[in-house]
Amino acid sequence: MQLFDLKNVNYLYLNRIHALNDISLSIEQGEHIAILGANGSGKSTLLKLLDGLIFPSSGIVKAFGKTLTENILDGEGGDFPRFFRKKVGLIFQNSEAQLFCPTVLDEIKFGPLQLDIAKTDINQRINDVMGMLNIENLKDRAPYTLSGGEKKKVAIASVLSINPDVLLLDEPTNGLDPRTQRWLVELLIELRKIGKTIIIATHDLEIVEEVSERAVVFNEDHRIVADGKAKVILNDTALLMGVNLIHEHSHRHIEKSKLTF
Amino acid sequence: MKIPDWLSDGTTCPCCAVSVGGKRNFVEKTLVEIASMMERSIFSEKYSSSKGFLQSIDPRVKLITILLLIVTTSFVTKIEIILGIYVFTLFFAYLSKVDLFFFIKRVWLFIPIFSGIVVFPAMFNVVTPGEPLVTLVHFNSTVQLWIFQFTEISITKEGALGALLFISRVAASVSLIVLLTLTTRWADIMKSLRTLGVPQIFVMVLSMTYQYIFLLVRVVQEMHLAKKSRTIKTDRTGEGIKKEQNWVASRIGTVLMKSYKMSDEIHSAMISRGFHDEIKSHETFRIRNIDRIWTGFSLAFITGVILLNYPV
Repeated sequence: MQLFDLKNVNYLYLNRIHALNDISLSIEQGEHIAILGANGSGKSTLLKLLDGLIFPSSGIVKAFGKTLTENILDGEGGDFPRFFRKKVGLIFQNSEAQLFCPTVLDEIKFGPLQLDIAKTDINQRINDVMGMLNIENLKDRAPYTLSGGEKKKVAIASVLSINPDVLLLDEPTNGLDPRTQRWLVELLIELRKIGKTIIIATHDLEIVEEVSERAVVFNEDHRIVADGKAKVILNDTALLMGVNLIHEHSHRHIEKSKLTF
Repeated sequence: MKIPDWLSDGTTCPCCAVSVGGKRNFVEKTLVEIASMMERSIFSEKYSSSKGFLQSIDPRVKLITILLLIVTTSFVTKIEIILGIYVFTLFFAYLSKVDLFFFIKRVWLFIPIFSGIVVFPAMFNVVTPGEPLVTLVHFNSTVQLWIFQFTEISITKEGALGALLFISRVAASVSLIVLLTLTTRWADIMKSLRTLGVPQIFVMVLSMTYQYIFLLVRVVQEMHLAKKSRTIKTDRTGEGIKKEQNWVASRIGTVLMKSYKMSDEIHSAMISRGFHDEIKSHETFRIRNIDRIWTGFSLAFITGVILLNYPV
């Protein structure tokens, strides 16, 4: 089943700075995709478009067969906005922006409450998610008192409690210590196994092969220059050098990264 | 990549004695104070999460009863009754496992600053005429100062009693509020405001403001440290201070931009998780027997105070 379909999408900041340049992309249910590109190539903008937070300057973004517009997600779409928010969850690069509730518990509860999930289910989900991510001890803490790794875990918990089918992760390993990075990769592998569609925007090539089968590569002109099997793309040194993702002296240490710390 | 020659040119320290310390400037002192306030706020969570008596009371019940006690205190006119209320707060602070020295210090640290200054002129015969207790200055003729007329400056009995009543009333009220804030998590106090009819959106904005102040303070602190690590301050007067002030003013704009960008991100994060115009919340507070007992006790105490102060 096709989840997203983007046709000739352009996105301009301030009506003049290109963030996405003529993007066409189709995403099927259950796919695990890595969006690769150097800093500022448009990866985060693409994720925000897929989450219906911003809308293209030109072109069409379709999700679950419907064209995403401000109107359809803002009251005129009947049940669609609620359906869409339940189905798609975005984990922001900056956890501090995502954690706005007074306590961790409130944070995890926020999404399910807004989406009218039954209260008994909410309590069950909160306990399960906190147990799964091992953050029960943080439940009464204020998010601003947490460490970077803890914040990321709470941000993930706050989205997982909605139980979205599609998980969008923006630079998920940024700023995390190696142990937490490893934990995150293992969590994504587990989420893959249960059939979640996972789309990761990253420039951390070490994790790509482990968490995704497909890779979409952006160049610095904000265009897609490659879309194919992650394994093939990761071995295409010329391509990765061309989009400034690797340097001629870069080495890949994939086996090393599989070590559990 | 070619490293320029000057980058590898290390210089040795020309001085043999390095002095450390010195006076901190206004910006630094302010930032340090805000950061320590932040630490204090986190530190006081130690009391709200300990297993004391008031911590076990439902925050809504606690908020309402303590507000009622404060209103009652403001109507009491007898100092001995106010002292009784103060002893009541000390007793419940003890039962709630709050360090009494910390509690007393927290209350009395601010009272001389705020209410002491306000009440100071009222102690003198110029403002409150009456029986003089201590005469400070005696004039040979009547002195006319604006609307005041006096022949001496003295502390009057009525003035001293009025000041004592005012200060003890402030002390008892502040003690009650400190007792509430020390034994209740900030998040729970915020949620309890809903029971007083405060709209959900207001409570949400208030609690978000509280936590993002901390984040912005951290941003400002980092900016200041980044500047400090790259500058040497030689001129501590005139031009130097002016430059420092200009720097602070220009950084206020940067912080505003950063906070604006962050507010945009927060809004996106809220929409992404289903927020749509109205915030839905789910309170998990439950009234238990201990809450009923506390409510009964507080109401009896309030009635007792009123009857003692205004006998029928």
